[in-house]
Formats: sequence, C-alpha cells, structure tokens
Amino acid sequence: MAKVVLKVIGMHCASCSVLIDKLISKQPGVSSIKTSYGAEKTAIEYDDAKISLEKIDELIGKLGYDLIRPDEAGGSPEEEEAKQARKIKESRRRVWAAFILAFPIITYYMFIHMFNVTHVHEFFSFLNLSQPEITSGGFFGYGSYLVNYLFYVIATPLKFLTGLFVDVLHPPFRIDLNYFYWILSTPIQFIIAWPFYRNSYTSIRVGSANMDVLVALGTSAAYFYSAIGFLFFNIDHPFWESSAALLFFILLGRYFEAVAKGRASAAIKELLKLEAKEAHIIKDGNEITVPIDQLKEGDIIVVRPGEKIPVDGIIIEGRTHIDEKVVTGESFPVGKTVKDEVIGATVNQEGLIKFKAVKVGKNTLLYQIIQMVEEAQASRAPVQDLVDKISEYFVPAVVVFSVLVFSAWYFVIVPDDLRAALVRMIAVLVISCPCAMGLATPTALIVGIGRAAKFGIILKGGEALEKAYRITAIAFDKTGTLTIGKPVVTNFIPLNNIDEHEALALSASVESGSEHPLSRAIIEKGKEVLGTILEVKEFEAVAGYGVHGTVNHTEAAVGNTAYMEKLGLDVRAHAAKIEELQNEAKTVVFAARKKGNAWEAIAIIAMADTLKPYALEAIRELQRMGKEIIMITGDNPKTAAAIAREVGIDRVLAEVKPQDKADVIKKLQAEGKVVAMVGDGINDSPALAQADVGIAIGSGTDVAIATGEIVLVKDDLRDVANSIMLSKKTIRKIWQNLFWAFIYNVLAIPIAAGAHLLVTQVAFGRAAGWVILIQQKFGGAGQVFYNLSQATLRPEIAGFAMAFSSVSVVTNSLLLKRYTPPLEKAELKNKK
Amino acid sequence: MNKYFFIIGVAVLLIAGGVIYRIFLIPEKSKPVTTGKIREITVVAKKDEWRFVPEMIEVERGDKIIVTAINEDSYDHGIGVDAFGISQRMPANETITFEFVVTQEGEFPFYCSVPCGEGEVDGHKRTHFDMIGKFHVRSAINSAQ
Repeated sequence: MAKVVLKVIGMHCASCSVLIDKLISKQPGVSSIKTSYGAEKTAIEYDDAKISLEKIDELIGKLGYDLIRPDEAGGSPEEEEAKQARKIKESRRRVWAAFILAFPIITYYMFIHMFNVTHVHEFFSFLNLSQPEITSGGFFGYGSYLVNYLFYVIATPLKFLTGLFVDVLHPPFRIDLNYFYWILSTPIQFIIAWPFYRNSYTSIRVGSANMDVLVALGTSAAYFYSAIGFLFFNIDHPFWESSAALLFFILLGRYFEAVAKGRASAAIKELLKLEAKEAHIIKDGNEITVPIDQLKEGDIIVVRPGEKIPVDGIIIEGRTHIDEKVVTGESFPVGKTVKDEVIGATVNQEGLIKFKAVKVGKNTLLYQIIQMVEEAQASRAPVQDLVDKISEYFVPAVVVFSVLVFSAWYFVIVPDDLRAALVRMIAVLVISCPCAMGLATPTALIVGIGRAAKFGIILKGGEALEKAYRITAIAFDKTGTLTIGKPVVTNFIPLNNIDEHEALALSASVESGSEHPLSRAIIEKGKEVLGTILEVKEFEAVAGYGVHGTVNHTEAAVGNTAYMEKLGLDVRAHAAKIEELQNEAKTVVFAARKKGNAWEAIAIIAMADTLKPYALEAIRELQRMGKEIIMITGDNPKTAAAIAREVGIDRVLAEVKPQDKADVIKKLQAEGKVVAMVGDGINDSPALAQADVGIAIGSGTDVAIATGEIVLVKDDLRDVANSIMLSKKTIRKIWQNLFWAFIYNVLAIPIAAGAHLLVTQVAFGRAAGWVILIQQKFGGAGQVFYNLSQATLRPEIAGFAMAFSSVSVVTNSLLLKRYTPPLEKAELKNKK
Repeated sequence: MNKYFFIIGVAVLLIAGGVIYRIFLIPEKSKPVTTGKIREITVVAKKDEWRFVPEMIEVERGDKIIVTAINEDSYDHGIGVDAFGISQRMPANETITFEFVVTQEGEFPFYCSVPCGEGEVDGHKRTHFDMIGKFHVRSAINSAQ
C-alpha cells in the first residue's frame, strides 16, 4: 500500500475533482482517492502491486489533467512558483483579451440599460452624435447625459478618422452597430473561451457533467440565437453581448481564483524558500560546501553567524543564539549550546557552531510542516463534498429542467409557439452556471487554512476546521501543555540574614554538578539572577538526599529535610513554612553552608512546575467563549488542584493513567460534548486521536504532532482560542458563500423559466387578483410591480447577475485574509 | 451509468410527454386556435411621447396578426410580446412588419424592449417604462355569438 499526495494540473472547476475521483477510484488497486480542486492536489491510497502511479497518471492524463508524479516533479520552489506564475499570467492574458473585446459591448449595453439612454444602433448616427444637452433631471436624466457625453467624446475622433474615407454626414451606406459587436464577440466565444468547449468535450466523453458543459451550452445558445436572430429575424436584443460578458466574468472569476490559490499557498512557498541552499560540512578534516540535498545523516556541519541552519541536528561544538521564529514562531532568539537541538531553516545569530545532522531531506521538521500543510489543503471539508455532489447533479438537473421549460411552453402554455419556448429555454441555460457554487468552499478553506498557518496554527484538513468550531469542551493535559513541564524555582527564601544573592550563588553553584531536573531549576534561577555561577569542586551527589560540594572555599549542600537532618541541622523551626509551600504542591529543599564546623541553613528553595506564559489568558478566553475546560493529568490530586486553582479550571481529572486518557475523553463525549484534547506527549496521542479534535502543541513529540488534527507551532495556548475563532470564521464564510451562490440560482432559474407567472397570473395572460390590487393601491410603484410581474427575466440581464455572484464569492473569501483573531490582535498591539 | 443517457432519456420523455399532451390531452379551451383570419394592425411609436398608439389592441383568438410598427422617433425602439416570443427592433425612423398568431386568449402586454430615455409630454413625465400596451385577445366564439 502506498499513500501519496500529488499535485494535479489543469483542474478548472469542482466537477473536475469529482471526475478524477470517480474514474480513478474505480480502478482495481486504488483504495481511496480524494482530490481537491482548490488546492490542486490529490491524495491517493493505492496498492502498488496492482496499479502503478504511471498508470494512474496516464488515466488522469486521459481526462485532460496532469498528475505530477514525484519522479517527474523536480518541483523546486522556484520552478513551482514559475509554473504558478505562468498559469496566472496566461489566465490574465485571457482575461485581458476578453476584456478588450467585450469592453465596448459591455459598456455600451450596460450604460444604455442602466440610464435608459435614447440611442440609435447605427454606426454613422453614432459618429454624428451632437454634443448632448441635459433634457431632464434625476438619476436617468443626468446619467444619460453623462453617457451621451462619453459617447460623444468617443465618437468625435472616430468621426474624424472615418471622415478621411467616407462622407460621414451623407453616408453612402449604413452599418448596424450589431455587426461590430458580432465581430468582437465571435473571437471571445470561440478562441478565448475555447477551453470551455475542450473541457466539456472531455467531460461528456467520460459521462460526467461539469460546469463547463453548462458554460459552453449556455453561452453558445446565447451566441447562436443572437447571431441568427440578428442576421435573419430583426430581434431587438441580440444577446451575444451578454454571452461575451458572461465569458469575461467567468474568466475573471477564474483569474481571481488562480491568484487566490497562489496567495493561499504562499505560506507553503514561503516555507520552502526558507530552506538554506548550501551547507558547509567537515570532510576528512576539511571544510567543503555542498548543496543541501547532498547532506547525509551524521554529517558534521559548520554554521557561521548569520547563516541558516541547513537541516535538523544536535550541536557538538560552540554556543550561540538561534532565531527560530520561522519554525516555532517564537520571536526571541533561543540560546543553544552543545547537545541542544537545532532546526533546519532557522538562523544562527552569533557564534560559530558545529552540529551533527540528525534529520536531512524530507525528514526535517520544516518538510514535515510543509507536508502537513499540503495534506491539509488537499483534504476536503465534508461540506465541500456536499457542494461537489450538488454541482455534479446540478448540470443534468439544469439540462433536464431547460427541456422541461421548453416542453411546457411549447406544448402547454403557448402551444406551437417556438420562439417563446426557445427564449425561455436559453434564459434558463444562461443563468444556471454553477461556478459560484464550485468556488464557495475551496476558496474560503484555502484562505482560512493559509491564514491560520500565518499565525502558526496548522489545520490538518477541512474536517478539522469544520469540527473545531463545534467544540463545546476542551480537555487540557497538564504537564507540558498547561505547564512548562519542568520545575522552576518559585520561592527562594534566604535564612539567617544571609544576603539573597550570596545564598543563591552558593546553591546554584553547588548544583551545577548535577543533571537532576530540580538542580537544573536552581541553576537556571542562579543564571537568571546572577548571570554566571561559580565552579564547584569536590562535587558529590547523595542519592535520595541532595548534593554537596565546595564553592569558592566554602562547603555547601542542597537537599531535602532528611538530608539536612543527616547533616545534623535542625530545620523544624521552618516546618510551618514548609507545609504551606507543600500545600501549594511545591517541592521544597534547603540550602546550607558549613560555618566553622557546623552547618547553617541559608535558604528554603521551593520549586514547582509552573504555568506556561499566557496559559491564564488562554483559559480565560476559552471560558469567555463558553467552552467547558477540563484538566486531565496523571499527577496526584493535590498538585493537580493547585495548578487548576491557579489557572481557574473547575473540573480536574487527576491520577489518570496514560492508557486511560482516551477513555476519559470517551466518557466526556458520552456526556454529549464535542471534545477537543490539547496535549503534547506520546501519552496524549491516544486521547488526541479519540477526541473530536486533537490539538497538538508544536513543541511536543512527533507522535503527538502526527496525531493531532490541529498543530500549534508556537507553543502558545492562546492559539487554541485563535484556531477555534479562525475556523468559526472560515466556516461562516463558506456558508455565506454558499448562500450567495445558491440564492441566485434558486431565485433566478424559475424566473427565467417564467415559473413566477404561475403565481402572478390566474390563467395565462390574466394577472392574478393580488397583483392587480397592488397595481391599484401603490400608484407608480404598483404599476412597475405589475409590469415586472407579468414579464420574464431577459437572459442578458441574467448573465450579468450570474457572473457577479461568482466574483462576490471569491471576494468574500479573500476578505478572510484580513481577519485576525482578537487575541492575536492584542498581541500585535503589545509588540508595537 | 453514463449521465448523458439519463439526460437524453429524460429529455425524450419530456418531449414525448409534451407531444402526447398536445395531441391527446390538451383541454379544449387551451388548444391553439387558428382561424386563418388575418388582421392587420398598425402600431406607432409616437414621436417623443414614449407611447405606443394604440395602447389597447383588441383581437380575436386565432387571428393571424400582421403588425406594422412605425417608429416616428429619431432613436431606436423595440417591441416585445413575451407570451408569443416576439422581440423586434424598431430602428429610428423606420417601419417594420412582423406577424404572429394569437392562439390563446387573455391579456398580453407588449412593451418597448429597447431603452429609449424619457421626457416631458404635456406636463407629464413619460419614460421608456411607460411604453406599454396590451393585446386583448377575445374568444372568437364569444364574439361570434
């Protein structure tokens, strides 16, 4: 079994992805395929013993699309980008060509219709337009004055030019303006819009119906009706101008879409660009520079200040600060030295370091992140499946409906009247383009996921996004998620009038020989306060008790109460303090020094695992959003309660064994909650998988990251709230988009078919009582309503509205790019 | 199954249904009536009045109507009768003719289908949207009685 996520080129609508899925999933050996139109990706799971990727590629190629196999990819970021840019460019060229040709037609008709302009459809009359005068006021009056002025401005130079050849004032012949429009619209129809014909042919061949079929059908119907009508039947409105407009708008929509896609996947491109190009490795004692793809695990790599770390590894020499912002989002450089891990694509700021490559090529963290984002974009939200299904049924439904409309008009309503029936059928076909529907979900998803990635939130797939906003309860793992996961010194109480700094210097220095987590906490504290610590001599770790050593000729010790007693020191005087601290779930140790022959206690040191920065704000925000917060921990109830109190969580489930965490989530789900689990460790992974939405903290283990559906790269708990808000926003966008896309079709198709006449007329040609009532009661407006109610929707007007709904959907989705979750906004403000 | 077989199948059924309805089921009063009677009508788009004259045209069901539409204006008009699929251009200062058969009875609006501006006529404002008239198609039998 093999699973791949690959790029597919050439998809132009939602139906295309359905088409690919349908055909490929039928092939023996393919167990699942999910193609996303928006992301241009397909995720195929197949048995490589039964079917080869080449075969799949060939089949997809037959449909008119191109699968980019890994072996032919060579997809360096630059090439990838160039390809994308070329595509956008071609798309832009098409739009421009369509625009230039359609512009005169669209403006002429649009202005004339909008401002009700008196006009003559004849070339020489147009040239001979005299300078207009205002004849009446109001919207139409001024509007038509301005339009006439525009026409006059255009006509005057044209008149001069034409005057060189013909006597314009007494033209020897007449040319109808429609001839010009015919000439302009023909290339749009058959050259610029050729892909629509090509695609619909492919689609028909495999027995699928995608939206291009409708576009081709609708626009050709309009075009041929217009051309034939104009040339032979003197119709008042040739609607090739509307077919040109329609095609222009669809092409424009596709162009916007290409740009949107480019923008949305910009996050990935940015990531790819971050990678270093070369690395300096030590080979046989010499330093040589090699391209990054030639690096192997175990190579010793030298990185100078200012250079990028090429791959993931462990420092073996040197000390520096590294800017890890690109990967973790952390804005402050992190101090690193021997044995610390370094991450590829991060920037070495100060010192020269040597490190051993541990993960290279596609195994680096950067690549894993890229892959996660790619997979997320290739996966689809369930809501999108619905939309795609609708699109797929929509086409046959519309074709059948148009035949029904024809049949109804031709045989039943006005028997034997071909013209009336034909006009309505064409109107239905022109209006019903489902492109806005196909755009509704992918554009919003792509922008939403891309936006989230910007904030360091990786949403693995539309499903995660869709479920995230339904969450009612959030379970947090304690250690490592809510808390830092290692003890820090919370209280340092100097005793016996010793100077605090002196006491700390002694304690921290004597601990410096130890690797114990509690020791590290004290060392950290010492470094933080004093900057440096002293060297310890004659160091000795007394297992189960503490440490002991000589610092600057003073003998010092740090350890628990038992150790102090062992040293002959009475600490009972401090019992009350100790109990108080222990009740706060803190670990308490003493520091002592030898004064003369006797030991003297110098400090009480209390340590505890503390909350992560912003944990408090995050929990508060989530509570404000009405989510139930639950803490799950393997720790004892006392420690758990202390942390819970601090952070304000009411419900604590303590002493939960790792293997029981998933069961706890199950129980919560049984209570009817939609549960999200936030965790970081391997022990959290089952719970992450069991939860409706698993949220992995980015600093956590690989297993957790692989299991979680949402990954918070920044290790900032506020991103839990951010991701919920973002997903809510995105899902709301999708529904908005669907609404705008559907409402148009739902309302316009019946009107184009004349179905509203069923309501507004009692019998054909007889207005209904309520319409007449309105007409009589509301004066002028009533008359307008009456006229509209008795008329049918003209296709050319329908065409404008249709194209507009596509544009509005794409624009609406792009607006999501401006959304910043409130917490993030506050954070940005603080930084300024 | 290939979607297009389905589409073609349903389309054929719809058309066949229509044909069957038209031949066998159509109620007597809906049957298109053609009497062969020819009725010539002249409709004039009055100069700068945004008005068709006459505005009410009485005809009998089954008449073949031959309309002579005269545009007195120096700009374009159009004439549309939705019910019978008529949409004809009336170029400036020209006369056109077209014909159709009023097979159904009822009131069918005809209107100017080309934007033609607005203006004041005898102190009243009139616009393109006022250029509406009506074909009143009476039952041939009733009028004969």
